[in-house]
Amino acid sequence: MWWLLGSEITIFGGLLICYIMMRIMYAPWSEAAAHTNTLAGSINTFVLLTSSLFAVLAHHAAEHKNGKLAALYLWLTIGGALTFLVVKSIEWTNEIRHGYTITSNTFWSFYYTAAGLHGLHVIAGATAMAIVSFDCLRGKNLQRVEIVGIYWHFVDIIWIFLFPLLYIAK
Amino acid sequence: MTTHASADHAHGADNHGHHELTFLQKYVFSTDHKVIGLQYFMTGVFMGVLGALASYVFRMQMAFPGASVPGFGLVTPQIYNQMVTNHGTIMIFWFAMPVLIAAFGNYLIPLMIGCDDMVFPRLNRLSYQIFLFSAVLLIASFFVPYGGFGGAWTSYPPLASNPVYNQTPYGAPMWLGAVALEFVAFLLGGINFITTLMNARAPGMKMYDIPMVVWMIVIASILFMASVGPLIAGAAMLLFDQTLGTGFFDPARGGDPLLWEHLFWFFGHPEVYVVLLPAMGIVAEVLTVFARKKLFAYRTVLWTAVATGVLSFFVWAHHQFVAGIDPRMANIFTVTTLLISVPITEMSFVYIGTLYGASIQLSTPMLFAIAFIVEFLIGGVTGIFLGASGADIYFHDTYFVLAHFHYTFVPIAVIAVFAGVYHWFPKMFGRYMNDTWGRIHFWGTAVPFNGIFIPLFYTGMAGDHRRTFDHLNFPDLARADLIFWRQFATVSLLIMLGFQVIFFINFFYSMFRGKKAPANPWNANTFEWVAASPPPHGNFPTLPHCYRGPYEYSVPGRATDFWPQNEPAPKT
Amino acid sequence: MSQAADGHHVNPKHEQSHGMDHPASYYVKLWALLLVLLVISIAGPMLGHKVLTMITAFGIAGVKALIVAAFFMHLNVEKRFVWYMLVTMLLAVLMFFLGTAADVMKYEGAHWTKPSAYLYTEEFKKAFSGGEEHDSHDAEDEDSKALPYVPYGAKATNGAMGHSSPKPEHH
Repeated sequence: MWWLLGSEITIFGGLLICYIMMRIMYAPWSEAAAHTNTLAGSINTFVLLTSSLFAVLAHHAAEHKNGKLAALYLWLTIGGALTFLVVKSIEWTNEIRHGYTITSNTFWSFYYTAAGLHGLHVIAGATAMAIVSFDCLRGKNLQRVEIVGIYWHFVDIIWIFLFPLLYIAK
Repeated sequence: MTTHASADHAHGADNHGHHELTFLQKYVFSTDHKVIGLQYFMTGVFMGVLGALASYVFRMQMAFPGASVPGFGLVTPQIYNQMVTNHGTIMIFWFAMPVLIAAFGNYLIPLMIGCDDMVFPRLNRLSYQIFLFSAVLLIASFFVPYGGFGGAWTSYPPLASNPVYNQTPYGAPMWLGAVALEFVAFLLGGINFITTLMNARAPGMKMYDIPMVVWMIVIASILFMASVGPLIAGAAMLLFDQTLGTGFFDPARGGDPLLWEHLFWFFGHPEVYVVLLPAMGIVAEVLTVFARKKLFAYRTVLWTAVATGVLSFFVWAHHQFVAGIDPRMANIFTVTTLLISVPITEMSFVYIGTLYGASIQLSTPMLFAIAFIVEFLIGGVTGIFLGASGADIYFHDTYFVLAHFHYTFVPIAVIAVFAGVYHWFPKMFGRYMNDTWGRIHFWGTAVPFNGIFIPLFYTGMAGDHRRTFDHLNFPDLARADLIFWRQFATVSLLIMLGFQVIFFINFFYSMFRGKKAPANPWNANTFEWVAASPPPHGNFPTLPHCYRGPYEYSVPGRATDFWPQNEPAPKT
Repeated sequence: MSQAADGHHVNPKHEQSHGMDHPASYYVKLWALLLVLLVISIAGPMLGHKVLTMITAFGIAGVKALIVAAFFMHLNVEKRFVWYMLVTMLLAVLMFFLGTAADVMKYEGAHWTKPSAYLYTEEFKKAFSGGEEHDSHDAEDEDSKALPYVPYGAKATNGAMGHSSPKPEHH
């Protein structure tokens, strides 16, 4: 899993470096950036941090061989993922309705691409956790809780950096 | 026996080998690393044939512009672009990488480190399935309206991002999607190789006891993982530019086409070392076995391979010297590019040193291995001219560049691969390939290859530019001698392609009717020769223990000139 | 040591000996700390000072990431080389930045300018400073915001950026 995360660092790192370079260069982007919804971003950061807590508690439960508790925490984590996606959909719908689409200008292109790529990883993580949780309920393969947990924390870390880049730096 | 237990447990349904597996389970959906390795090999070779056919088509066009190509038809400029693009893309991503890394890596690594399978067999199967899907997607791109992508394998915007320019509105995103999926497949596969090497080695196998080819494939996987990220991000950006109309690489929208070039080549340069290192590993194995001598300087080779890998991240903009990059950066990249030739040359010299004073057996694999060293050196030396940014101003985008990289790529992807195939065929299929036909194939490959590309150095210096549909459109290039050499190159290609038929007949015939081979036909040391030929599911009846390094050949005082790694030291 | 099917090391004694055996409240406290940091980073912009905002926003992001990595992902007890590998990947990304920034981040040099950059920023400012009031309806309208292709050699529309582009010899 760590090797997978290593390569993911270069994927997101590459994308965000491109964004940062252009953001620094084009001062007027701050006017577009002013329209990102900091409240939604903050809620989502809170949601993801909390879901990371649930993920590590799931790992904790798995270490103590408590499959059912681990599965419960995994589903709470998945709940966090779903909340994140719901908030994001509302946020994006609002932005698109105001005319800020992926093609509006390059700031928005980066915004939707970076957040979208992240969102795909959220969906993948939630799916993986669901699959692992079914085994956990039967007490099998508890070591996988740690592995999906590590993936999930990584998804959280990406968001921790996306948040200031897209929402705070205005 | 914990590794045995873990891989066994991981095998799940095809566990213990006691019950008969269905054809589908055994060959199509297998998790056995040997089957997966052969699947990658067959798919890769099939794609390589497609890439070679593309080269046939466009070389015929270059030699006889405007004439209908036998077996194909007339080559229009669009078709020319598509052929050139897909030849490059297929050869690198669907031939060189799968065969060198995925096929040889999957087949050899567990055998050579003495375990019974990869540590993640199902992930292994998944990576092949994704790879296969990517190959299918690429082939499908030829059959959509307007055909396959025609924007060159480097896919620079705005040609690549604007369907009005490249005229392949469906082929372009399909190509991009296929490349992205292939990257994912190799990322997953790489995880397997690295983790298996780290965790599943035979007891007693210390760091410097690992066969060189295994190291090389693992180092290559690490390089791949560290470099492909920005390009995957860039591919997403290009895909959106192509399909959604975003402006990531459009200057009028605040984007920058040079950004794509950087994203691409940041990966593109380490990529060539990703394919080079496994090829050098294969050559190291073949050389030591048939020179009956240990590798001249194992640690040097290993650490210069690592150094090459690290340095490869600092040289990429030499592909962009004339693209309008900051000239100060060009200075820096010139220095680093010239520097990187040093470790590679050192490795080549170590190989030559391995041959010095050795009892050389000129078997077919050995012939290919020696040809690799000679021809790769020519490729490397011509790279020096291109690494110097001043000279590159003239050479960039000419056939000189093309000849340089074919002089490196063909030894890597063709010559070294053949060395590996002839060497390990007895292990994979339990039978020898026909030696006489192998030698004929060797001469018919190694010699005409020079006939193709040496003339192209010359035409490149004379001014032939790459990716030009018809050089006769340029009056200075319509000279008789240039026309002659272009035709010479094409005829050499035809000869070389013709000799490959011998290889295929030999390969498939020997698979079923070749002379039976024992477990260790070459009297080699490494663990794969301990297993039966071909190895059964689970590889070894009892897992071997490692007592020494992999290249203990011609050790004084021993009765035989080899000393297998799994043989315990004699009790004195 | 035992290896599970996925090759991942699992050994019940492993966590205790390496201090992974924390009570659940340990993680909850860390979570609370993360939330406090989140609040600070949101409050930062309200103080108005740009540099301070950057420090709080990105500095805190870095700290939060390290907390999640070290404690939630248990990197503090994992084998050392995992840190080295992850740092190496970050260095690779940094290398990419160093090589690319010189080209992508400039719009003028000793003998050249990127005129589209000037035009882009000027037009952009005009389009967006007046833009928030209109509720333009969605992707079909993007053409009104897309800028025309700028041919090489065009000058910036106002002299505010200072330099005019050098006249090319042929058009």
